[in-house]
Amino acid sequence: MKKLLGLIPIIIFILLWEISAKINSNNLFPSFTEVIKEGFFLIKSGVLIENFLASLYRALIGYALGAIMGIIVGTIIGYNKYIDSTLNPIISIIYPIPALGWLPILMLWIGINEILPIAIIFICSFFPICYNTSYGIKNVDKNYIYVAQLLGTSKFKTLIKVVLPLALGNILVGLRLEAGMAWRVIIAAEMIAIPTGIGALMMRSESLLRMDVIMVCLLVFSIMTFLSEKSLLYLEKKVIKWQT
Amino acid sequence: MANMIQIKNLSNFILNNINLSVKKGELFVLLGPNGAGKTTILNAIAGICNYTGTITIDGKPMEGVPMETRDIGYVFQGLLLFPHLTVYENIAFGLKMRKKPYAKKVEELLHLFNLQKLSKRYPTHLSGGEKQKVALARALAIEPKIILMDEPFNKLDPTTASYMRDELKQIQENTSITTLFVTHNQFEAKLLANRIAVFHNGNIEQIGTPTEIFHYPKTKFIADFIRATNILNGYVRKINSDKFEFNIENSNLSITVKNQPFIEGGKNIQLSLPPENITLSLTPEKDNHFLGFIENIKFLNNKAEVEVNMEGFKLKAFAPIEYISFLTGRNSVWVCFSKETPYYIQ
Repeated sequence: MKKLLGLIPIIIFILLWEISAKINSNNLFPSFTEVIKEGFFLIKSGVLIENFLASLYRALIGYALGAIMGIIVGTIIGYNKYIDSTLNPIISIIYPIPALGWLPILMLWIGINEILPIAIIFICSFFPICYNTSYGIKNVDKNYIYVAQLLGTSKFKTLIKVVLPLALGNILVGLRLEAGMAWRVIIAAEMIAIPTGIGALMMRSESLLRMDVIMVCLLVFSIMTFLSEKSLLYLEKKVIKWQT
Repeated sequence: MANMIQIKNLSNFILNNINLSVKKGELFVLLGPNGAGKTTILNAIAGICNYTGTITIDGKPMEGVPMETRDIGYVFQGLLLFPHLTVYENIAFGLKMRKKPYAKKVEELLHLFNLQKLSKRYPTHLSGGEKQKVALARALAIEPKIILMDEPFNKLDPTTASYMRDELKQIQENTSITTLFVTHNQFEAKLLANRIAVFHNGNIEQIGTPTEIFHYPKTKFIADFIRATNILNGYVRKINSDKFEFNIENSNLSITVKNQPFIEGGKNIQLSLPPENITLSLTPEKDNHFLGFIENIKFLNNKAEVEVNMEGFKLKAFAPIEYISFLTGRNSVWVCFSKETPYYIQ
């Protein structure tokens, strides 16, 4: 029942959208039903699927690479204070640069090809995940490490068996937040520099004044961001079952 | 009995030249207020903190020995059960890491601590007492040479803490495992210890059996800390060959005390007068006897603590419980003790 309450504002929003679009009939303000119809048409014609898959592929590859590298580097930084002291300053300098800020440099270095959006997503995911992972590892109570070692565990095994499981909460929060961010960045990158994908489809539609297609793209983007975050939240709950 | 732990000239940021030996199979309590250095001793033995001096365990020097090969079970103050592991997995952890067979041992410990029904639970779903049992079982599972316990019962309610103390005492006696137990609770120390070391400001003030510590505290700090004895401040008035007269400060009372070679006339000193060694009587007895008025009777486990006022000077004395009917309704009583009872404290 509680969950259904959240549907009420959505239904009201759609109704208001539909009614106001019908009253003020205008190409720049299509109704909800027109957008849905256009969505089905774009799916049938294959345009939406083709562009969606292009965006999905880039988001998944870039995010997966960024997450894997972020977890590995973050773990090393978090567990070894010497590596932390060495790498922390450079990461602190690079971390605040917005991912899209790299776009002009990468366009010149890499060129406009499939690697460009993957590289942008990689940068977007790597730093926050690396930061969250190292933060999570540093925040594990040192006494747990002592307990494990006194029970006969080597330093490496302590990392695997105790430290990483205890830092998992922070690591998964980083992964969840960046999954949504990856979608936001890929759409923006495609709008600016990449000729294919959901973002590029939106830009083409803008030049043709196809507001209905833009809205379809925004709906797809919204659903994908929502699903990515929700699936990682579900994973979080499943993996850290001992917290509940 | 041979020593299991030998500590020589141990110093660091808290400890000052500590010398201590713990015998095999002993339950040795480190007693003292917060910040006295008790936990630091445990951490030094475990290899967690830096120090100068030497620590040997079972004859083997610990310098340079990594924590994982020290053969120590450590029950930390916060217990630190691994939250991502079940009760069973927590207990089995050490044996698994050492690649030793664990199933039989874990079952034995689950049975010993009556934890069989909780074996699949995570620590977040355990009560304080249950967590204590798991932490102790986990430490015992690896069959260590020594167990270190840092105030493990201080967050438990009194009933559970009392139950856990009995359990620990029983298990320690059955397994004969050398145990170093840190507490600031004098009652707990008295109940558990074979011997006690009292810590203050990084120094050991006294090492002794519970009787020695609680009946004959060597220093004023211990006497104040354990609050178990009467402290008499005053000065030495007259010295004879075998006894001296001692005037109690702020009163007209003068008592006779057995002489000791280092006592000098006219000097201010402190004496301890253990309440156990004072007799409350209807008639004057012994070398020292004063008529006093009963001010308060407090019932303890198997005795009563009686507060008696003698011309403005108050003393605590213990009386057997069956003696209470005799004391009740009576205003005055004779406070009697022999000249051997008061003893000098530093």
